[in-house]
Amino acid sequence: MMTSWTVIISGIVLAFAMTLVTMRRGADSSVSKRIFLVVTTVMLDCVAILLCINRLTGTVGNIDDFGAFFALFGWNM
Amino acid sequence: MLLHGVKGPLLFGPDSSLTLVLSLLLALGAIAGAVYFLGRRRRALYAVLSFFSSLMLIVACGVVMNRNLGYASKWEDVPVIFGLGGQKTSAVPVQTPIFRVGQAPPIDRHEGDASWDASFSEENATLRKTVFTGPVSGISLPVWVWTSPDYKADPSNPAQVIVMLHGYPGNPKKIAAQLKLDDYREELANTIVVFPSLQVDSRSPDCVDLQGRPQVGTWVTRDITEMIAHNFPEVSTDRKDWVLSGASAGGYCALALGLTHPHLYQRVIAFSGYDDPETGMLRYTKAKIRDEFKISALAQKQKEWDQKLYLTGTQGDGSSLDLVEKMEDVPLNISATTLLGEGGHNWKVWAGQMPDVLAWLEKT
Repeated sequence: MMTSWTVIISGIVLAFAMTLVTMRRGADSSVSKRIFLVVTTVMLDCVAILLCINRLTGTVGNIDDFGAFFALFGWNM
Repeated sequence: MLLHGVKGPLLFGPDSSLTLVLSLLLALGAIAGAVYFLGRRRRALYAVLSFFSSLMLIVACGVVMNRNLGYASKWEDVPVIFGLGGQKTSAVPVQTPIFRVGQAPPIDRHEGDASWDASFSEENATLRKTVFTGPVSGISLPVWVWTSPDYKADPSNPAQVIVMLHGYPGNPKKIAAQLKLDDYREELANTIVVFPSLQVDSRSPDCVDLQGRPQVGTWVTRDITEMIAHNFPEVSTDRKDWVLSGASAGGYCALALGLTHPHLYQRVIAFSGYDDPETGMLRYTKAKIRDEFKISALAQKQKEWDQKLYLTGTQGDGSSLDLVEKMEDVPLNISATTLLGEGGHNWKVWAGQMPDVLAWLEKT
């Protein structure tokens, strides 16, 4: 269930963990690796925020229902 | 910057391309800044910029979604969509006594009365639109009417009418496409589907009449009903042929209005409706009034007329499940059929329920 607390907390923990990994590993990395780490962190943050919004709206119920998320943007899948 | 005091679309409104481009540029700029400061070991700045870019990407997603669905045209509408900006109110519902069987007035066609004339323009092959000013409520809002390509106005074979109420946020213009009605041209060949807007202001629709507020209940039950009967003389005026339906908040509204006006609608369909009045000013009234307007409470009061309710819900949508469970215990004159499925609270789910809904309409 995409609205369950288990999924939401997992998403937040994953995003937070990625932020910490990027902070520790990113400073001494090459520019391309830093870009990869930052973009991955940003994407995981977005997923965590979207999971919280979905908890409020209940739009996406489960994985099979994901087409409904894209339908919001007018993309029928 | 043109944010306030302009007429028409806002330059930087929640549905404008400029807002979309600006939010994407800010997101990209913040990512570049985060990469730069990460390399300079300025970790706090990196964290702030990285989170800010996520927020900007979410804003960009929101703008794309809003451009597709047309939920908010002004920034003031945005917090209301998220349930913010409401406040306690002393608004009191207007009492609408339920007519006794045999004493209810018939649906009035207002023959010869020009104030009920509506001029429709074609939106596409199956959808037409009018902006109608209700002679009773005074509300002036757009109304869309969908008819099958196979529809033929034939007074000897009166058409069925389905009035479909949108949710909040919601766009009545989109519902016919969202429910894929064009796929059911044969099943709905002798049916008119009506999508009235309930959006009298930027708040979620009241759906029942409240003192001191635009009379949305009257708009649906009198103005829309009688306008359709007037402009489409081939439709039936028998309550057996009038169906009130709605999705989400519209599902609550359909049940609330259907159960308080059973002389008009024998059948009511609620796609993922709720038991509690979570819409409009009813949501912010006193607990006693909210309790009176729970669907389960309204159903207990309607003991006069035979009515058939069709309620859908999904396992991922707690409010719809709650309604389905509470409606298991209804008076004998009301039959409640329920459909529980997988998924969430969205049009894809409701479009998937359409074959079952049409089969139920055919059967009842």
